[in-house]
Amino acid sequence: MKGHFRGLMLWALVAAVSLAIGNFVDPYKNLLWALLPTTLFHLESGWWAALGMTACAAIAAWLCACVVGYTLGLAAAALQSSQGTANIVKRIAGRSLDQVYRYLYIVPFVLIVSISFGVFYPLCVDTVSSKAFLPKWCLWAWMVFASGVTLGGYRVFRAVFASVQRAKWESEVLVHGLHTPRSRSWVVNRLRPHMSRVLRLTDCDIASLAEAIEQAFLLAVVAIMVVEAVIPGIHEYLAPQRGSLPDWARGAGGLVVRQQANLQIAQVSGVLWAVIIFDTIMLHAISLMTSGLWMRHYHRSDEEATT
Amino acid sequence: MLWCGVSRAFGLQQARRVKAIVPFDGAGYDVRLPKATAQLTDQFSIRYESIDGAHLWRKPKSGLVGTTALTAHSGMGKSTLLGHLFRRLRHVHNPAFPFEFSPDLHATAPIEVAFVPQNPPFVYHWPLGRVLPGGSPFYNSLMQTKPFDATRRLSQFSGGEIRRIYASSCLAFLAASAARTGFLLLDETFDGVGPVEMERCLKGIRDCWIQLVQLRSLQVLLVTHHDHVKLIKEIPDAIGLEMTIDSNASSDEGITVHVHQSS
Repeated sequence: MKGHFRGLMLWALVAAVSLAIGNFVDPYKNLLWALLPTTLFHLESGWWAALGMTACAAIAAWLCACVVGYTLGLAAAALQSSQGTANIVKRIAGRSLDQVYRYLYIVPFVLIVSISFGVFYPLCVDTVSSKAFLPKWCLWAWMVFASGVTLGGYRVFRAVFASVQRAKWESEVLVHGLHTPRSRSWVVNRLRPHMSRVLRLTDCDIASLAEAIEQAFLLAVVAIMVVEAVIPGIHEYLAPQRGSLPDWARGAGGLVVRQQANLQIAQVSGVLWAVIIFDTIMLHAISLMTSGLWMRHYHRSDEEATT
Repeated sequence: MLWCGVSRAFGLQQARRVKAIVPFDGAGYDVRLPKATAQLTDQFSIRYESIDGAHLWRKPKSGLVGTTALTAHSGMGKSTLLGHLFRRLRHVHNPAFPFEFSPDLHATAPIEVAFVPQNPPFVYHWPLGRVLPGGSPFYNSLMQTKPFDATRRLSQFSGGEIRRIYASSCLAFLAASAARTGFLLLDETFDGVGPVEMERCLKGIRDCWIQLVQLRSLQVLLVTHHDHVKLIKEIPDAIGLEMTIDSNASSDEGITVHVHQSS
């Protein structure tokens, strides 16, 4: 805590010196003052509604990232680590799943947004050449899903896949010989011979999975704001409106792009501070969750171990 | 045609169900370590030398459990030897290291192997029920002080206790498998406890196995750097092995280790 406080003080000092200097430099005279956290109070109700939409979409995208990334990671790792000459096809499938996902991750995200929107748009919205057969909210759901899975999902996928692929020798040999109690569930018992090793190797490197889940949330926020910036009024597909596009439908990313064009730097700064506060609160919540599930057992005291 | 296919599939399914544990007709394996060199890196190797091949295990004359305690000080390549043995036992058709199995391992498989390494990963968030069945007799024989509680996390045990829990889990795995012979490799698993406790653990493993897993054999190899070899004289058919290093044979390129049965 003391270290955090010192860090904050140092940053506050740097900011104060910058402001003091900037006040005497002509082009930055008013600009730097517009970057302070007080700009949060300049945000109007429409901005807060847009931020709320962004927050909801980011949480939904993060959930998609965790579920899809974890499931695909387990599947790819199980396939890739199949033993024996009869399982060459499985190994190739596992490796290629990793490679395809990696390409999705390294391609600029704007292109993924553009392509996935272009592919799904005719299915949900009537066009000249085709008639839609899905409701419009499916387009919103698809874009949230795609943004979550592409960036954050890959981070979770990679954590699971790498914990199996690069498992320590000690983990490998121990996991091979540990007993797996039978479950009451028929499905679990059917999957057990294939998945038990992969699940246990993931458990051996649980810290990296916990870290990936936290980072997936930050990436989900980034991805949603990029989607909002690229597709104006993305949230309107969730609840279609008549007339002009409301602020909440643009999301924080869409409003930032619009205000950037109008050189309204104060509002942009307000959004920045709001996003930082939201990220910090959510990161703490996720950290508490992963700690409750797994990490608290690793911060044990010696007294606890001996009792 | 379709009927033939269906009946054939049904027959296979039935055959799988009927396939019970094959009664064990031998009593484990005679396993010897002839002269062998383990190449660790391009520059460093360990040469194991023994007169006529040291016995790692001998077929137990009474009972179904063979126990071997291998004593060595640090840096003599005992973990390396265990690693080679584990690979050899897992991939029977890959004789990278010339262990001599009598009867031939290929002819009498299936076997199963479990290994508790010297520095196993401590997965503290696992509850006990994740690695052991409820009321496991192996747990009770190795962990007498703490009663079994399936919800208790591994973080509530000390490092030595977790190693013994892993050993109990490996024994439960070997007991549940359909293998005729189970090999259990323990790398300094009981080094944290005293010699008396270590002997009690080895006896506990032996008694539990004989009581629970009839008709199939277990061969335990315990590596330790304490001089506990003479203690296992209390255990029938147990072998005490010692690894000693010849200082004259040591060089930058590698070491030569003598493996011999302790008197």
